[in-house]
Amino acid sequence: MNLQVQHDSPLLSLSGVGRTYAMGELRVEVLKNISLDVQQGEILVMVGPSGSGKSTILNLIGGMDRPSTGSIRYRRTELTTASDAELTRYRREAIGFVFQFYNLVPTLTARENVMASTEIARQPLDVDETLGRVGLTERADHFPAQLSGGEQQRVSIARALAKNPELLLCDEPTGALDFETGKQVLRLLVDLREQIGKTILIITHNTAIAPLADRVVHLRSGEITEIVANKSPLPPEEIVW
Amino acid sequence: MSVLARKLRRDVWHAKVTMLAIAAIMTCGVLCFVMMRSLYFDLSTAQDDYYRECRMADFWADLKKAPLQVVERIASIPGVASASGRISFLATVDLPTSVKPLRAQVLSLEAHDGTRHNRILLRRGRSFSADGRAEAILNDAFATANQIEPGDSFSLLLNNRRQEFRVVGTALSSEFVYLLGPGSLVPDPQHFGVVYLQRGYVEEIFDMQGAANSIVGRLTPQAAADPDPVLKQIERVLGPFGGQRPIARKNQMSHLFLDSEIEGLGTFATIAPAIFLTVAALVLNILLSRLAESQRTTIGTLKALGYSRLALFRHYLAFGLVIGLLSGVAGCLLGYLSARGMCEIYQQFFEFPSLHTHFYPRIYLTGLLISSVCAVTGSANGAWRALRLAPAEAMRAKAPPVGGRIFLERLTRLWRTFSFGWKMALRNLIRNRARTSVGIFTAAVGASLLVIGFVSIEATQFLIDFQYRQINRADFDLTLQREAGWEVVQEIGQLPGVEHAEPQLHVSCTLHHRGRERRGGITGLPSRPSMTIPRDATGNRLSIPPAGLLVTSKLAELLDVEEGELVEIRPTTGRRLPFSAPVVAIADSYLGNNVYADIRYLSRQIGEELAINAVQVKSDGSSASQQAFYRRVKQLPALEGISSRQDTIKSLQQALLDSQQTSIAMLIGFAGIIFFGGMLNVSLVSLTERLRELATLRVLGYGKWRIGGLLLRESMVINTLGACAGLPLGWLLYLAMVESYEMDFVRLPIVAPPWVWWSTLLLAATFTIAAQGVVQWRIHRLDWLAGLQVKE
Ligand SMILES: Nc1ncnc2c1ncn2[C@@H]1O[C@H](COP(=O)(O)OP(=O)(O)O)[C@@H](O)[C@H]1O
Ligand SMILES: [Mg+2]
Repeated sequence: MNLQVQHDSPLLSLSGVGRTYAMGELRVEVLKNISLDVQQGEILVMVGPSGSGKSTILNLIGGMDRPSTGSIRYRRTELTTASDAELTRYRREAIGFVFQFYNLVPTLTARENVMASTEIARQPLDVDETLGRVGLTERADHFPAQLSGGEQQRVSIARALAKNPELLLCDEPTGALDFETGKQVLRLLVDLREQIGKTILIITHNTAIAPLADRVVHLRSGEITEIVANKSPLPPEEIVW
Repeated sequence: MSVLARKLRRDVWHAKVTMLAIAAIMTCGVLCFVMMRSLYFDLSTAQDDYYRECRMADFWADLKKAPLQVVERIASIPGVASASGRISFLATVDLPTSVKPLRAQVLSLEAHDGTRHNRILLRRGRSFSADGRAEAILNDAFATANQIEPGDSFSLLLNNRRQEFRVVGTALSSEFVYLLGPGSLVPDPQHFGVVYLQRGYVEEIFDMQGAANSIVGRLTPQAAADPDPVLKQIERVLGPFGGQRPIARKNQMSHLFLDSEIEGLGTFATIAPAIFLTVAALVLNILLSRLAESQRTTIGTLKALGYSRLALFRHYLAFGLVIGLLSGVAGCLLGYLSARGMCEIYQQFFEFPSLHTHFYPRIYLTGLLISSVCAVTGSANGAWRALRLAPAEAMRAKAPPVGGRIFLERLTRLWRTFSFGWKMALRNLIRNRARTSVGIFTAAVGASLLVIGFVSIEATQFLIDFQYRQINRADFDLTLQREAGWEVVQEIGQLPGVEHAEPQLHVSCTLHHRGRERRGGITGLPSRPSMTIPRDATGNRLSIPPAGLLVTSKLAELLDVEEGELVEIRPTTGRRLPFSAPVVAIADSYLGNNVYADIRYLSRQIGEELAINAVQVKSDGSSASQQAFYRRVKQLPALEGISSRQDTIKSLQQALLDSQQTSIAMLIGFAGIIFFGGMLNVSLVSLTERLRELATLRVLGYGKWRIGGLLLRESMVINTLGACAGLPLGWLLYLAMVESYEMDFVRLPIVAPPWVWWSTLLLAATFTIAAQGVVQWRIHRLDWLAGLQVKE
């Protein structure tokens, strides 16, 4: 498995990806023929109504699930045929997840939640520095229940970031946050790209977020309806919803 | 410390109450294992060492009288390694410290330590001096119980003569680890002991110069493994001297009791832990499955972060392992302490030179191992769920549980009669079948332990009552050294305080039927006895047949004989004329294998008109006349021994009931832990699982007690079903115990008065309510708003 940097080819490429769920007798085709390249260092926003298959795509990209058809390549690695152990390594080394409901481990402090990812990473960032980057130095020893939603989401981002992955996958990162806090979180993500050149994939049902992307992918009923390149992305502060 | 280890530590701390409850159950298992296994080895090694040190005999032969040359002949039988002759009698002891005449077995001892078998170990004082004729050594427990020290004097009634002796020492011997007087079930050092006298002196008194009436010896290892053929040969040699088939070591009383205790420890060291560990593993399974379920999202997140399945599997197994190791360590410690305590208790029954519990690293390691294996097994299912959960799946909210109707709801009429609270409780119970079943199983096991404990108490009470209030109603049993006529009854009838005296004739014999053979004795009774009253199984009085025998059920079973069949009797004392007699009826008895007959009928069978060798006495019960009675009895030259029913009952009660109290207390404690732990877990798991539902009810205006009431209903249903199932289960287990009890001369009564059932149900309910107390406390402390926010 080769997860090393390699220029000028796309970081990630999906071709003809489909995902079908068997629900008893019924077979539900949640994704149909998805083809998409993700370039290194870009911010990609995927928008679509709820139930359109966004999380499913994210799970496939994140190596949490396998497609029913098609192929997903991360650099030179074919995820569809990778073993469970290889997928675990892929998640560990290449991917950082940010969840809508933060998914912090409730019995671990903010710092320990971040450590949970640095402990298993190959080249992790410094835990306290990362917490400082998301502005949580003061609250490092608090448990999730003692933090506000925005703070929890920042811990979640720090956790994804600290293991120094190439690709950050954010599933409705602002979905559970109020407007102002949501914008702060988006600022943080944009900064990450600008400062350390991470590739960021944000999925959301909130079309208002689309303008900050380099490219916007529109999804509907499990199919990509269009992909729009954005010549001049807006800074998060100028976004309104 | 790794992050997962910290998570483990905090999660364990959060679940401490439930985990401790499970650990307590597991601890009981390890405790039992360590205690019983340790005692098993303690007793076995103490037995081996003691037997070796005393050169414990392999066989014991009683005879009338034989010259010592016969001993040589026996020693030369192939298979016999060595043999020695001694003189043995039962005698009445008059101690200065006791008003009552006591009984003792008098044994001759070679001077100068020349004894080759069943040697004694001196405890206090010294051995015989070269010419010390009037010197005696007492067995240590007898001396201690009667406050006799070396230097004290006492007298023995030997061969119609009263002889003064000085105690020079006290001693122990391996043939009397469990020292029983004739016909008793428990040692009674206060009233029965062993008196060792110098051989030369005993020869003189009993006119046994150069002779013996007891031969003991050792067999070669091959012969010891299958002693019967050799014993038969010995019997042939001894026949002309009034000898009987020798008793092999495995049938020697002291050995038999000690061995069956050791064997019992060996068996229960497996059964008891198995019960506890099974319960613990099942309850742990419920807890960990729930834990893994409630941590779905966390599991998914950790998988997303890149934690391997193995890491997570290990993480959840570790929960169990923590409990397992904790209980293992606690169980080893408590097991060791209990073994120490039990050694003390054992010393009241078994007389060893030393009995201590030792350190057994291997037992402790095994204890740790079995608790860990049990814990890991119990958590494997939960951990497996964590491992199996597909990562993407873990992140998705779990589909709401299918809320279909339960079958009870189809019985519309019935269903409508339930209140809302009961409907909720019943629905929940039926939907969580696995949990409910584990709860019921746990309660059933707990209840069955209680039943076994209570029935055992009742059975012992019943046995004592049946034997000493129903069958034997004499205040005193006097046995005579030789047969006498009616005048002895009259003489005894005139002793102070005696209201009534009744004659008996004991004939020791072997009984033969269809190739089976048992040692035993026939008791001749007056035709209308008032002090020994044979009874049938239902307690009804049986009349004494003018001819023929009344045989007790256990003996009838051992001889495979039924009413109307003939039994061949070979008396082992007196003129030893064999005769056949019909079995007229079957009597019931729990102690001893008694056979009853009319005293005149029996006398005729042994060639006499009327022979009497025992007298039963009813006294007026006043203590003044009792003192006078004892004083006079001590002077009776023909007396071999006397036993008082009160003393017998007291010693039985002390030995059986008091030691039973310890084990019953333990059983109740164990049952309590099982109930408490099981119910607590089932309730708390139910509480956390339905937090949201219950929080909603809170918002709707349900009080905390009412919420608790919902859970209490569930517990009570589980508890009641389980406890009710436990009643027959415990009963069956008790029957199995009775069945497996191997002693020929004791039968455990099968009795179950209503209090057994009621107390079991009541205690079960009490334990469950105690567990509910913890649940209620948890409900009061709960953050209900957080309950509403949980998102799974
Ligand atoms: N494991 C599954 N089994 C059955 N259906 C699923 C499963 N996962 C997702 N779906 C269905 O696929 C569709 C898309 O889901 P999802 O990707 O979560 O949508 P989005 O994130 O865009 O809201 C939904 O209708 C959902 O019910
Ligand atoms: Mg989604």
